[in-house]
Amino acid sequence: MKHHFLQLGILSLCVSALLLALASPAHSQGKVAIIMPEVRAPYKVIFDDIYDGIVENLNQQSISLIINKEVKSSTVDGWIANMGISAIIALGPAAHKSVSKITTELPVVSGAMMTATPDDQDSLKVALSPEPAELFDQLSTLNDNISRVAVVYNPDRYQWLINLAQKKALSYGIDLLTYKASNVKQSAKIYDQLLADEKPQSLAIWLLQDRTIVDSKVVLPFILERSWQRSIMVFSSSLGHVKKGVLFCMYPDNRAHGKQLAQIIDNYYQLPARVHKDPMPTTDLLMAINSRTAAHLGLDLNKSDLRKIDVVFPLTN
Amino acid sequence: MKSNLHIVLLGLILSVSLVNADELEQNEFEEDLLDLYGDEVTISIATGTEQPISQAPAVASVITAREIAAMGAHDLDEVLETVPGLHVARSTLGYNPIYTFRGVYTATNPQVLMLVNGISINNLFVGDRSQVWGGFPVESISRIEVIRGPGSALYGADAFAGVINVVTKSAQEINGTEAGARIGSFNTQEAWFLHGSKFKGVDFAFMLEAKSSSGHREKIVSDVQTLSDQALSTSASLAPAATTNGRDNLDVRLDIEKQYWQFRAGLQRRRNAEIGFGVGSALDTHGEYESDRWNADLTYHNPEFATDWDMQAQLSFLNTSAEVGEDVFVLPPGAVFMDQVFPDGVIGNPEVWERHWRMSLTALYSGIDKHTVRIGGGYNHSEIYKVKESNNFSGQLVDISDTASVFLPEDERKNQFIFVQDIWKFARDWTLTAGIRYDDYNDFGDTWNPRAALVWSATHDTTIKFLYGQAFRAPSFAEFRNQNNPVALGNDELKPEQMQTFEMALDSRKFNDMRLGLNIFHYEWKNIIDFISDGSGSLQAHNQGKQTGYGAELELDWQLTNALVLHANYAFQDSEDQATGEDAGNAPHHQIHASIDWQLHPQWTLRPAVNFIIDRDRPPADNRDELDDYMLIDLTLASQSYSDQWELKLGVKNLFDVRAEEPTDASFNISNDLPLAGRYVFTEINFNSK
Repeated sequence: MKHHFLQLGILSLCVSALLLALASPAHSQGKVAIIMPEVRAPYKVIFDDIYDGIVENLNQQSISLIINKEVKSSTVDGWIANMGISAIIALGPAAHKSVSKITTELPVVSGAMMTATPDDQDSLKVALSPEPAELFDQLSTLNDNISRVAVVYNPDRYQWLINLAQKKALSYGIDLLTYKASNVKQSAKIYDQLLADEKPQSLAIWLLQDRTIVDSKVVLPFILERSWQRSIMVFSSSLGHVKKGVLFCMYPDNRAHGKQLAQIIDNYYQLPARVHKDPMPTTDLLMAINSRTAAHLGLDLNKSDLRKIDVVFPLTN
Repeated sequence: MKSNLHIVLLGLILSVSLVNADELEQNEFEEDLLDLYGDEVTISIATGTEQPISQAPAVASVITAREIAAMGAHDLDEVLETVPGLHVARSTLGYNPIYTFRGVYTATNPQVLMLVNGISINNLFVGDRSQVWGGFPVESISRIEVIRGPGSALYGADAFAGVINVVTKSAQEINGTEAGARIGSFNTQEAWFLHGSKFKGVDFAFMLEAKSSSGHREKIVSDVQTLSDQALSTSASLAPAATTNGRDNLDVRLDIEKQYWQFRAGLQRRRNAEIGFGVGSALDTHGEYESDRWNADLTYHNPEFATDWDMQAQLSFLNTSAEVGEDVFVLPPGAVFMDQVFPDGVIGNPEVWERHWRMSLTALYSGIDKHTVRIGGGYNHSEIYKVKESNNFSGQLVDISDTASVFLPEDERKNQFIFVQDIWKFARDWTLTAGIRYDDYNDFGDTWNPRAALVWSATHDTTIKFLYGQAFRAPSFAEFRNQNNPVALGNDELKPEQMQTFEMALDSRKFNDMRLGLNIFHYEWKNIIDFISDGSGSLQAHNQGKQTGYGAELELDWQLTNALVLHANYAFQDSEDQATGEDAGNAPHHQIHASIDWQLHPQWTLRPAVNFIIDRDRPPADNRDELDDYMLIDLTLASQSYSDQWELKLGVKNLFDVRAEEPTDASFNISNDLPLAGRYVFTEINFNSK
């Protein structure tokens, strides 16, 4: 029964693709394929915004394909061949995976990646992780006494981001202290030591959006409590952390993320040759801040050089 | 030129038991997105589909569109009933809501300020929202902010026992098309259509909601005429018979926004609005009211008007009417009135039209270290510009509009005001908000109303607030200027009612996945306006009463599991009429509301809810038996399509068809109270293009 449905799904995809190819053969040349996963609400709106950002800024025709778990790479491959695609934008790991399995000479960029890890596919990858330099920039603006930033990370997921952050931290005069952990038990021990730091006024802790390191039941409540008591600045790459009490975070402007992807594809052949295959972080970011925590730390949120704050927590006080 | 084409592969959604590697990967991806955003509500805020809420140092509840939809509410009042410390009682006149905050109960309920997008919709006539209210549909509502306690220091008159601010959806929130239809018991049909889009840098939103219902009909055994029949040996009463509650509603809103400018306009039209229990608790199966409420506002808001200055200017307009569609029978055919038999019944058709112009300027200055100062002022011009009345008190139905016999003269009220408020972060973890507002009225003088709120972030997960506030309630035109009605004569010597409240609030997130709130309050309400005997057999409005009260509210939001969230609150109040030392009556001493959001499956949610109204005394001089407690249980089952575009909802309100009653006016001394709706079953379908 399952296979029957599967075949039916593939057949309908092929028929749709064929009909479409027959219906508009003259206009299919040079289209950019936007391949997106079928996601449920409320995540769908994230992809809708990225999609809107792409099509509003792309200087080429585009055609989109929404895939789900039943669609095989070979099917996508056939669709790309039949549609006369000139470049591919894949959104999310499922779309990235479906594209990475096919052999194509076409320019490919994968966006909306989360814990993007380098792979053999020669595609550009843009993760939803915020550009560390932007985080350090805001950190320095909020408190210029910070000289050390500690981060605990899972190397399987975020080594690429930490490599990048190491380079960027130097230009802000920040000593980035990195600690590897692969589970909550390990990270809890490290945070326990970090939060007992003897010079809390010069230390900030950077939390990654990684539940294998910072879970919401044990580690995050512990960090929030101890950092409040010792007035240690904690910032994050997760909006959810700020809602719970972390000082600030930067998170992707999804429409701008789409724009970033469109610009990469439009200028693909002018891009400098890539020296490594690490993903790129998102550079167009929004900012959320927890005003209650800021007040506790004695920070001034009215500073003119502080960037626009997009969301202020707590939502009600 | 760009062309965009979607090919959607629906796949095999039915095969839910299939868990393969790709699906696990997809689930993991969704969890990664949750790591990034925290929770689904935060996703909505971050993506602009839900607006963050303005901060107000008060004991406030905020209910968002998402929560309103989850609770299966169809009308504003159903949402408000879930707010701790607020019970929506009902008037015998058209089942109009009586928003009873913390024991402050009056028949016409002018002690509550209702705002729509921050602009008052309270009427001059009796001070309520409308004598022909007819409900407020929720599909166009973005969020509802409810402030318990006084708010006159910011909002002016009538922000007395509480403030209800209804914020409608913006184009950005709608972002496409929302449409739906609902059918339910009592021959109820509803439909709505909302569209929001951006065109050449201008955001447009259009909202239309329509409803037609025969209304619930509840049996009344005895009414005012029954008592009269017993005394005079007549048989005029229609009782036993059913209340009438049918109506046809149309709500239309327009919202146009470009950068700093916003223009909003709306119409709330009520037609064929039946009487409920009757004007004076005598059943009337014939009468019908009508109302048109037109509103418009032009708002300029620039958060960066100048360095450290946030500026808002607003001009608004409200035109509202309470009209008679079909003759309203004060007493039924055969009744005796003023020693005269009325074989066709006693007909009284009062009609009122009023309009309000308001302008205000508000500035927020954040240029002083540790201070945020809000200053502002404005001018309101309100008038009852048309009064009509026809009645048959003389035996013949005659139009007495524009004569000295009419019940209310046409008149105007002018109000100018200034206010200042400072939020001062005077020490780490301590914030003091202090404000005062001065209001000057052409008809009853001036008033100063201060407020202060001290907020202490005691620990990383606990906040404690201490609040003090004063408020005033402007006498309504009925209280000020009523004439020719011997049981409700106006008095132009009236002063505003006054309220003084102390509160303490604690908010704790000590336990993971749990929010706990506790509020304790004490209030003193004085200069209460009441109609009392002037010695000549007539009743006239006077500042007479005084009431004090205290109480507490406890709130709990608890994420029990990933699929189970409990919302529960308990409110307690004890209010005393100072003249008699007796309980002030009518309001419940205890109220419990609880609901569970149960995610049965990613696409299925079930929400059981219970509302328990406990221990309502009668007011002084009302010797009837105490009102029975009641417990109503609602169930809502919702199924969403995978992408959330389609939703099917099934629900039942008052599942066990419990006979629940709200108090009728003590002065009529009838044995019957006002029965609420019995079991109500509904189904609805929603479409959202997002």
